[in-house]
Amino acid sequence: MSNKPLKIAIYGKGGIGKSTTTSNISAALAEQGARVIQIGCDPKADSTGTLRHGEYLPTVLDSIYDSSDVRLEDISTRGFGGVLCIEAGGPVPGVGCAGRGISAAVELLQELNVFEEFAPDYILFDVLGDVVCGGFAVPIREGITDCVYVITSSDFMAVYAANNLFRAISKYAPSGGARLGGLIANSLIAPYSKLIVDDFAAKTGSSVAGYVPRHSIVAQSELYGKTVIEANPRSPQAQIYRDLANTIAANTDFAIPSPLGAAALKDWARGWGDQIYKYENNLVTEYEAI
Amino acid sequence: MGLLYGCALHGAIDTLLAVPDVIPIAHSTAGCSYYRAKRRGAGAAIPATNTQERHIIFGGASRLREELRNAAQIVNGQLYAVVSGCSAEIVGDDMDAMVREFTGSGKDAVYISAPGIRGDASAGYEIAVKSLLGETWEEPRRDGKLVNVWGIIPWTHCGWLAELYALSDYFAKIGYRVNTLFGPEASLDNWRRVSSAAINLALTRHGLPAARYVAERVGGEAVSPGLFPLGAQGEFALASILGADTAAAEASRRKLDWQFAQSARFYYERVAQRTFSVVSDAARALAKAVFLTEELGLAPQSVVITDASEGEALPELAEFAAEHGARRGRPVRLLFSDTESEIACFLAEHGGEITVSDVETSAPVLTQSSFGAAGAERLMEEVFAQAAALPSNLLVRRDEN
Repeated sequence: MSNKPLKIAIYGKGGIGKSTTTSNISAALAEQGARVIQIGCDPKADSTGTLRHGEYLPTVLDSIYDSSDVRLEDISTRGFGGVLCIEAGGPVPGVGCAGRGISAAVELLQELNVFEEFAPDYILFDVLGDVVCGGFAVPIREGITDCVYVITSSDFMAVYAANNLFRAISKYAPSGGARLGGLIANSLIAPYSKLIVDDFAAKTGSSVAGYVPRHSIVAQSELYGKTVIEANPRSPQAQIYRDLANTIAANTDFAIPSPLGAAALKDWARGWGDQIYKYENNLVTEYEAI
Repeated sequence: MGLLYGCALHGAIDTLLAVPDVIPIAHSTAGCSYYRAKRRGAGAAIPATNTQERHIIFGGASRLREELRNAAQIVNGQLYAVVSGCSAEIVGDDMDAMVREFTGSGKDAVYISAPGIRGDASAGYEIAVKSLLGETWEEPRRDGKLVNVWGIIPWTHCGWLAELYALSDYFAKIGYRVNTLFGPEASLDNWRRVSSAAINLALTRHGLPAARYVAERVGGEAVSPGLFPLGAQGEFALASILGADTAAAEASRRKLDWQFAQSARFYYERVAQRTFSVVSDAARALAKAVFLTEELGLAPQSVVITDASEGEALPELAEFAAEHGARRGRPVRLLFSDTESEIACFLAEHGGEITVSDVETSAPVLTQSSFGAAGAERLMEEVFAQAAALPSNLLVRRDEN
């Protein structure tokens, strides 16, 4: 491992499994002996919960609010495998500006020299939902991260959010922002789910770093306040996360995606709607692959 | 309107500060209040929340609550007006709730949303006026002789107060009363009388929204003299709008004519047919240019407009420039700018022999009204003083022979 850490941002639609996936990637990397920092960039401050068994951790922004003299030990804790867990935090819903909060938290972490002093091999930013304003794009701007992974399922709204994130990435990448590492296909259930995500990747000049099928073991591990890696280390699901983590760790092929325009995205979705209708109604014709 | 006049927040605060019963409280970052105070000089200090980063991230409502409480203890007022800057509006602080909570303690307060992103100082003037009207509105008791004057934005023109006083004096002469809404004599009681005034006079285009707003609510009419009422001609125009006696305007005309006749020799020797430039806001610049051209026989060279951008439709000004450009066979140059260096460069190239500009300084200007006969007298003095330094028209220059 070189001295320079790999800085990874993970984005995706709300509820798509960003924190679960990110925490399992962190756990898988830490399990192999890597030094990992995971930073939750979400006012809910629940990104690293399964790494630290749900124990209380003051957020960066709570500390800024309470004191001008913030120390790293006040805002971080060591979780599973020694992962340094940090939560940016933010205002209560409906008040203030969470986007500015993300900016301020990232600034403070840089001021505290966290990234130099902890000497991590990997830094993972787990960022709230869609890019709702400029503040949430801070982790992909100006060299704060090297690459972005976008988590999506095969649901249209998740793909739609991913396409929007591609727009943000393609806007900032040419001026030194992070590039796309790839898509992470999550919560795959239907037999055609993988094909939909693959097709979207092909249409947007991106690739898929890994496929994570939906499995009850993920929810069960979370109920114990743990990652799958920790709670069920020998399960096939844990291996899927390990493979994903290894792919991300080894990947150096970062791209600038070509997001679909509004009309093209709609046409693309409609095309898949037609195909799924045919499939569900056994109308698939000869030579038509799905 | 640009930097010279500030943004909507500044326009709103200046408007509110001109009503002595009202205490504006800026809910904004320090710079927003500081810029205003710097432009205005000392004596312009107001309570402000001095919003910091933590108030942006976590919301600034509790900071505002604190400032309202403090302001009420330190500054006496009948109405506390919370004026919000961009940061509070973008973050979406619930200022309504803070104001409601404050009024629950027995003080009157109003929330006025005037972030700079809403526009320039004239936008802030309109917002503040409408908000004050919302707070003070009473059932009209029609007073046919009462006049609301709109469109003179406090502190955006150095002579704003002198102008309001001059207008009051003139209306008194012709049997009307100005409802004093701004300046040391203004009060919230006068604002409560706004609905009773029969006439809503928009003196500049900035006053049209307020005049129309009031007129629509009371079923009256908003009137405007069109051209800013400079000179005896302006006094006639106001009298004719109201259908009032023109004796005062006629007296002004006689006085101006007499003064002019006494200066005839100097006029022909030094002033006649000189080229000139005017630097002022749109309303006063056009009025001065028209006066200097049509009454004083000067030739318009250029006009600098300080409160409008080039895209804004100012048909009367365009018409003036086109007409006199065609008459002279050379264009009347227009510049829309409030930047000193830009204006100086423009005048170096396109300035006339005489330049008439408004004084913009943080030092108080107390008498500089552009209204009526007195405004014309001041303008003539300024022109004559500059002309005195120019070579005589009567000298036949050898090199021209």
